[in-house]
Amino acid sequence: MIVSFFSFLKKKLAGTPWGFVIILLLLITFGLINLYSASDARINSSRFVSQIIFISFGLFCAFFVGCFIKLKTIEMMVFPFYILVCILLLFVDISGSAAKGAERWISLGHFKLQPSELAKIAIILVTAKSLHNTHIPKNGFSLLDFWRQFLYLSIPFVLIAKQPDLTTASIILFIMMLQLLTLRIRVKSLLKASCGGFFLSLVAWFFLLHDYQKERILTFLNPMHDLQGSSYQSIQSMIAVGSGQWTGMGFEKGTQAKFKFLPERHTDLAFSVWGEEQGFLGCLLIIILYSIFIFQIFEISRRAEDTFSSMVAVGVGIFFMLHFLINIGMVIGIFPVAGIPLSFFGYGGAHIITALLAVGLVINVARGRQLNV
Amino acid sequence: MTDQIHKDSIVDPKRRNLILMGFSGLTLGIIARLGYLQLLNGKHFQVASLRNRMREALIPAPRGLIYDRSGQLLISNKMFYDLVVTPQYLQKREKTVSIISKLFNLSEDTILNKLSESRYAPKFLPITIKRNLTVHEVILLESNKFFLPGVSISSETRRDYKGNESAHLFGYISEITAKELEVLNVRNTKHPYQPSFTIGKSGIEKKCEAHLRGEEGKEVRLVDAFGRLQSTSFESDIQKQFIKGHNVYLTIDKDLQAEAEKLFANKNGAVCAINPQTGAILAYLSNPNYNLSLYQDGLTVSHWQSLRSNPFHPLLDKVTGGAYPPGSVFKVIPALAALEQGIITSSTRFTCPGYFNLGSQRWKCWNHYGHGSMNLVDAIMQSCDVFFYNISHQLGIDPITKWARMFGLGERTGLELNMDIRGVVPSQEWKLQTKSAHWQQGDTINAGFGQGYNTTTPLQILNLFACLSNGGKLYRPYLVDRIVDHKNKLVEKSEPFLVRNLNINPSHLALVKQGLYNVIQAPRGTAKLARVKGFSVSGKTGTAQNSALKLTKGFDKSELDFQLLDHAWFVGYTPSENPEIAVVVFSEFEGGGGGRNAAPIAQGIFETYYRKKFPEKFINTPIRVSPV
Repeated sequence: MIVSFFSFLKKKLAGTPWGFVIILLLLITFGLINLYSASDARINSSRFVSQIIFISFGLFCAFFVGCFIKLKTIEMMVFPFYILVCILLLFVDISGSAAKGAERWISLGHFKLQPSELAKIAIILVTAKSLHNTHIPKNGFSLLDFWRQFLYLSIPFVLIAKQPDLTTASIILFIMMLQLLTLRIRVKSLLKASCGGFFLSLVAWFFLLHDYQKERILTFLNPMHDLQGSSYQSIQSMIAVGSGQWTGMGFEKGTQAKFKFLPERHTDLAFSVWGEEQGFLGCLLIIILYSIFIFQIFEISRRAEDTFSSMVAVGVGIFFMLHFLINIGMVIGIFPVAGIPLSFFGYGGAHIITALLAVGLVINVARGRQLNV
Repeated sequence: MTDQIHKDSIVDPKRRNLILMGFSGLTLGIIARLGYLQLLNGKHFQVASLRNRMREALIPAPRGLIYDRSGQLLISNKMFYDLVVTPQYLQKREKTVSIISKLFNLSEDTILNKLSESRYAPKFLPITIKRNLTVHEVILLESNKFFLPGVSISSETRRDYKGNESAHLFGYISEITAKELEVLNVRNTKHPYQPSFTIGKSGIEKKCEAHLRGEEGKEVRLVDAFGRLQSTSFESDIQKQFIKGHNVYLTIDKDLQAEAEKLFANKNGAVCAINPQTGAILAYLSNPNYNLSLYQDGLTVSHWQSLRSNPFHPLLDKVTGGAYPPGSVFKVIPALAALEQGIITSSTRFTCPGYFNLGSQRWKCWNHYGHGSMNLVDAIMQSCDVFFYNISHQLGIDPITKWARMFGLGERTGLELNMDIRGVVPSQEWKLQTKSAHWQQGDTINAGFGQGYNTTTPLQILNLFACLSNGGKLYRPYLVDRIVDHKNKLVEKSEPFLVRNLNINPSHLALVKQGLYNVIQAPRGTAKLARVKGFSVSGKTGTAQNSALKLTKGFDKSELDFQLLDHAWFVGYTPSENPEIAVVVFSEFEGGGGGRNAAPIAQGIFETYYRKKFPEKFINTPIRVSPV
């Protein structure tokens, strides 16, 4: 019986990209070590323990999605999943407006479900699925060829932007746009689109954005715009990272984090704590691991046999790429601190489970259709 | 299985690589930025990080102590206990406040007000709720401490006042004002004052502030982003232990000071004793006194108003800050001037019929029946006004002005304590400038017996007689004998400072001194009450008339009665040859002559001086218990 279980497992795990998994596990480990310090686990370990539970659950999901579900099943589930996410987002919007304030979660007893995170995966999947049977036109694509994809995007985009969570809304927009940019689109069409985009952003600035959102964008353009208010986080983060120097102040010895000068130290600015305590060399290690991780995902995408698989893998790659670049940009004072965690480092169940689900999709793609049959 | 397998993906490898290249470029940018922050500017950010969490706290140093000439403690320090609340550790604010209010009998509003006054200060700084707890209150808190997190006792070294210290001599201390901060820190760049520091505001506390204050200790505290204390044990070269202030030894004699306070207790005015050979002040007293702890504990509005509205001006130091008509004690000036100018000799006589006529004006002698024929010594002894009207009239004002100024009248004594005002020695130019009127002959008559425009401080009169008694050497009075640091090492030592030698003809001086001797020792002298059995005492009485006030317009009628009363003066020295101590007693609004009212106080001080010096001579003489 035991022997048969092992042979079953062996069959199921066949084709798993082990190198990729090892890099993933390294990132998760470093993220956990850092969170132990950043969340003051020695004093109150509840966040640290929750994060371990989230990661365990996420790894289980990744394992399940990666090895036990056929890619075809996933393909079939794309639209139902998309619709479910849209319904959840609508529900958040309604309950949020009832509470007269920004609301991003659905409370489920102890846990809070944050559907905007799941929307990131939904968009990756829907874009991939909707392009599945498309053929490349002779001169390449025009952006107008993607009207269906933009339509699918628009529903979660509007619902999330209304929460209001402009950051996450922009993220799903960028994920999809970058996903589309991996296709052969005519350069002329791209130029037209960027002109249109500029015009639209002007309209948005004067008619659509809240004052605090404008404030964020101003800070975005000039991080030292408001020293007391929105720039405080950037400055404290730069002080933390900068004072790390070559080798850092040592694990749990970062004073910016310990004395609470660093805001968002266990969520968005968790990597600042890493920079302060592990220094330049520590940062370099994580950046190299992350780069390998992202290159591996793109490599998996390259090897994928069909449009859906490669589009899913490329989407997940872009997902991690954006979080990585924007989050570290926040940490080093180039982007304003705006609620985008570094995957595996920031505390938060919704993002970690989403990220590991995405990893599951990549593993599934990597194992290929034949093995999943 | 009808799976449709798409052998080809539409993903364009070139475009995908383009994205990867963009990613690589941005990642290199991130690494470059990290290098810029961590490697190039790491030191800069390290300092910024340190500045974030370091707070310097100054630990006040205990003020130096004040001793008398023989090392007896005059002003000391004591540990005081205050009830403080540290917001950082405060839990259940409302419950805590209500418990404190019950335990220490304070209203909840008072406590909440004090807490909200300091709400912007760092959370680790304790807020004082009640000062100067009794031992009982300290125990009360200690036994309830368990229920009161954030409430504690803080101890601080402060002045230990008994309540009867001579406030004008020692001076009060209180919190530095913004203006003082600015002025004092111009000179004090090494140890600048900080807001909320306590400084000496008057008296010795102010004069010796630079010595008494000591050096504040410094402590570095690590705080978190909310100002909560994390630790104090932080290695730093900024850390410094406080250094106690220097101890000041005054020239004051504690026993003489106590005797003066005892004898003068119910009078207003000033008493001062000096060593005529050096200018060292032995006793210094201005009445009414006030309690110095009023200021140390923060002067309340009601206390301040009662001090301000008191008609006897308790806040004024009358020894150096009050200028009064000197009356008859001034007569030594025209006497010496007349001798030196050669207008009179020892045998010159004037007849006193009880009055003096000049033109249509008549000046009365205090003895309306007249003194008869008088020479100088007799005139000083009996304080015959008519004799001095005559010599003043013959002298004219200029020599009188000159000699008054030679003796230090009309100029600051140089004591540099409190106000040390000049007073007025009238002259022709002075009258022209201040009154826009020419000098009249009648003015000279008034000036000659110490009335009219003359005003002097008691210390000036004392120093005048000290100079006279020692043979014509005018010393600068001083109060600080020596200053030692906290290790008892000498920092500063005062030496007698001769302002000028008047070079008076010794025979003239002897003549005046004979008169002053007779004032006390002769049967017809005016101050026989100043005699000390077995010792020679010289002196002069004075009764300064205040009646000019009657004519002042807009004078409050209700105050008129006591304001009309005369001031009583007595100034004397002993022994008559080579004097060791001179005393001035100025009793404001006494309503009687100096001989009866002021001389006995000087007598008590003289006797105390001798009792201390020659205890064996007083074995059979009981100490006088009650003041005369």
